[in-house]
Amino acid sequence: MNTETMSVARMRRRPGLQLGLYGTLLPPLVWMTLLYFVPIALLLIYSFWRLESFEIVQTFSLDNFKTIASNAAYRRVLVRTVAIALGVTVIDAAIALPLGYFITRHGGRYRQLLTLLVILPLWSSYLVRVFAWKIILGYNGVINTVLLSLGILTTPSQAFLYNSFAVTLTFVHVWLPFMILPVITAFEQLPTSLLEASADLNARPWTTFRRIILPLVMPGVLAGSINVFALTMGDFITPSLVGGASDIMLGNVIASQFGVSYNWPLGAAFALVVMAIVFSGLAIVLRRGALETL
Amino acid sequence: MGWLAAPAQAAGCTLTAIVWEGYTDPSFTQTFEEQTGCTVKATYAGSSDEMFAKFRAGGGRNYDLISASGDITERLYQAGLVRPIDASQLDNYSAVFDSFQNGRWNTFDGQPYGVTFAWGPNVLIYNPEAVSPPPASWDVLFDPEYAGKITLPDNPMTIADVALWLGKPDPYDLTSEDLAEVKAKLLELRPQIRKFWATAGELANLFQSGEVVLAHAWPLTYQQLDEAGFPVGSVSPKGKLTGWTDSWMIAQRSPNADVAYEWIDYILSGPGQKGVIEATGYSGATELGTAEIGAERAKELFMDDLSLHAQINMWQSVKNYDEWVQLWNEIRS
Amino acid sequence: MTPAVRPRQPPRPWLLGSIAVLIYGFLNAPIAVLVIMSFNDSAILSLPFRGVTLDWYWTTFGDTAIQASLLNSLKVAAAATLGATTLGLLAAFAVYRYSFFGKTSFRIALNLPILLPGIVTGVAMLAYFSQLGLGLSLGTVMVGHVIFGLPVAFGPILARLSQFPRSLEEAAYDLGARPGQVYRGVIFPYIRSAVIAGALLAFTLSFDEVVVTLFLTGRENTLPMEIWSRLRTDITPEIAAVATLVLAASTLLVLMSQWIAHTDEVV
Repeated sequence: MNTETMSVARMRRRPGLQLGLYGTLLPPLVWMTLLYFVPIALLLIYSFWRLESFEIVQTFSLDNFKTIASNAAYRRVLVRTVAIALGVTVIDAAIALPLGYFITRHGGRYRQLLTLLVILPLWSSYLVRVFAWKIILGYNGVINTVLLSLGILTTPSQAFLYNSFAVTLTFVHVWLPFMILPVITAFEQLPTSLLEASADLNARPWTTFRRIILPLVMPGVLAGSINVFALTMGDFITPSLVGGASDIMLGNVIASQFGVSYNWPLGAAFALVVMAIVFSGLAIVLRRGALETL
Repeated sequence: MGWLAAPAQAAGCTLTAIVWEGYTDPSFTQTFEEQTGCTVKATYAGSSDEMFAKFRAGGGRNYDLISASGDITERLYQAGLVRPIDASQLDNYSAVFDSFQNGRWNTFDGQPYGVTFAWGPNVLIYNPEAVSPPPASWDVLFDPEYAGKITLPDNPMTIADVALWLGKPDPYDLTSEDLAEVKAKLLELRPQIRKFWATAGELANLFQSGEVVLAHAWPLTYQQLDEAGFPVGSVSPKGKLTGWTDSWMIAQRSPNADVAYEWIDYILSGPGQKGVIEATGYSGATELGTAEIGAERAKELFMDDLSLHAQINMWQSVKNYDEWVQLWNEIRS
Repeated sequence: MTPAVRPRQPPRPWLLGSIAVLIYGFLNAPIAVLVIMSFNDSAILSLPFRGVTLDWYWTTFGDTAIQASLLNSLKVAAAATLGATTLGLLAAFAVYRYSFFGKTSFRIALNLPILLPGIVTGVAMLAYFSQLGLGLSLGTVMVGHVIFGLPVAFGPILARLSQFPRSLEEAAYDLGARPGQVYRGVIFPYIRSAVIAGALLAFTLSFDEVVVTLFLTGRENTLPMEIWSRLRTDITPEIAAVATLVLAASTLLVLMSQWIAHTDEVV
């Protein structure tokens, strides 16, 4: 190829360069700025306003953040929310790892079907899936009915529903697909030869898992973790449906400030707290290089 | 083309309302829709606060009507969200019980801003198959036998009830010390509570699925469960009752005020009153309603002498309401 | 001589297999319960099971509120998917093709709506629309769904684009093709499956979205909003029937699209 044709090719593309960049970059950028980034910024501003006798007062104050920090009830909710979110994330990761391994290593020609079965629950209504746990865990529920008919219990137990156990279990269930999918992707990229080499070198399965598999699928686990953690941090449906008298989470507080109390400034401050917590989780994940799998 | 224009106009008429459950029950709303050709589109709210927040969220444009209880009527008026009522547009206004016309709960600056149409007490509802003997007072909620079988409304207004149990003379005017006492009492009660109910539908489900046997609730739930053939009993302990008086209020920015007036007039009429009473089990507010349901039923509902209405500590605006909300959050966390 | 080292056998799959069966059971048990409850001849959505009936399905077929909300959901999801996929495609091209200031931040920022909880998006947009004095409607719901749909479509498209062999494109230009032709004839066929996958995911998420919708919805309900209001007022097995129908329909659609994609590849 001579230099002349090459420069012709380049010249053909050059005038389109700026146009192409603006044409592709601007629509999503403008859209997201006007309808997402500006609203988020507004939320930040709101959090410094305050509510006085049912009216939003637009002057700068730190009252909302002081309220959150000084109020024991709010601190309890904050700690509970983070604890449940972390717990759900860890449990989901612990479930997703063996399943991801099984599907990719032993799935064979059923691999697609097995993956499909993971996504299947997502195609029925999320609200109804949460409600299904009430039917399973309730006083007249599936578990109690089974235990009664086996003679293990003589009267139905109230220990399964309307407590933090029910909240955690339901979260683990509804968010599990969001953990399994990135983990499967990570396993699919795992070179089989490495596992064979490890086995050839006489490493025990546990050692192979810990030293070879885990580090290589970690980006998938981290991507799934940030999904599950963020989803749990912001949810209020599950605690209000299966939680008990005192199991509310940050999502409930935000929702009630916006929906019931009309204290939007305080709700905005709580939303920022949630954002800050998720961002710190994200920072940890990003430092470990999981961005590529996002 | 006149034949085409008329039905098209009727089909385009929609009245939107935010109401307590049962206030737009199809059993009587359908009649109105057939008569006027308008559709009534209602959102049910679980608490007064939710009603206020939702009514206000759209700048007061999302709804034409609100069935406001006495605790938010003043708030709505002060926020400029509702318009004064022009009684001359209501044929049935004169039938509203005298003491309810210009009631202090919906009259501001000498002008009526709402039309009273229903009222009732908060009662103790129980499952007679699980609770015996029939309870006579609120103390039964503290009975260890029913631990984990009790539900209360998820609503700061419940604080007023607890204040009454504690013997406070005015349950809507509580000092910080009073509130501390209420908090202690509620914390004592909390282990007994299975769940706080947010809506009547949720409450009915709690009873029907066997989760609870005792509830602090509205007569609506008694009506619903009884209709569904579920065993249910209801007690209204004397002297310790809170309750509400509900008014229709029209949004300041309602584009359908004419239809809103038509709706209010219908609810004040005999069939309208009867419909509300039968769907909810609440008491009505007009002479036309009394005539429609008959003397016997009217006596049961204290519509003939309003003696019960005077006894009930009706929901009203609370000055230090933010403290109430704060307390409630602590109970719920 | 040292004895020959025998390579270890891979761990027996039966243990792993039974764990997998348990996990699948856990994942799908609530779904099974729902399907069974939808046939329950009882007025309440709870055990005991009182016999088999199809009444709840007939109720659903005659329920105009459910039908109207289903139609709304389809409208919202279709519009949101179209918007999100178009914008996601453009953004993926920008990132793939050009270098510009703040590219990494742009990528992370685009992903924020799915990295942050939906409630943050919901309340932020609610506050914004109310500040602008805009009323809430299905339109505001659509806008909200495009926001979180964009990164959902953007992700797989960009991943696929990054694997695109640049030489193919160069060759097309060398042969004198115009940019539009190159896009239609070379690049798009290569990324088509990723575009479809992204669009499908955006549609699925929009169709079942609850939290953002709750804050942005006006007078008209989407299907999840209708179900939510039923869960608050009138809890009957009809809800289970609706969920079962949605599940059946989407399973059918996905199987069909898989089958089409399969025959596509063969051809």
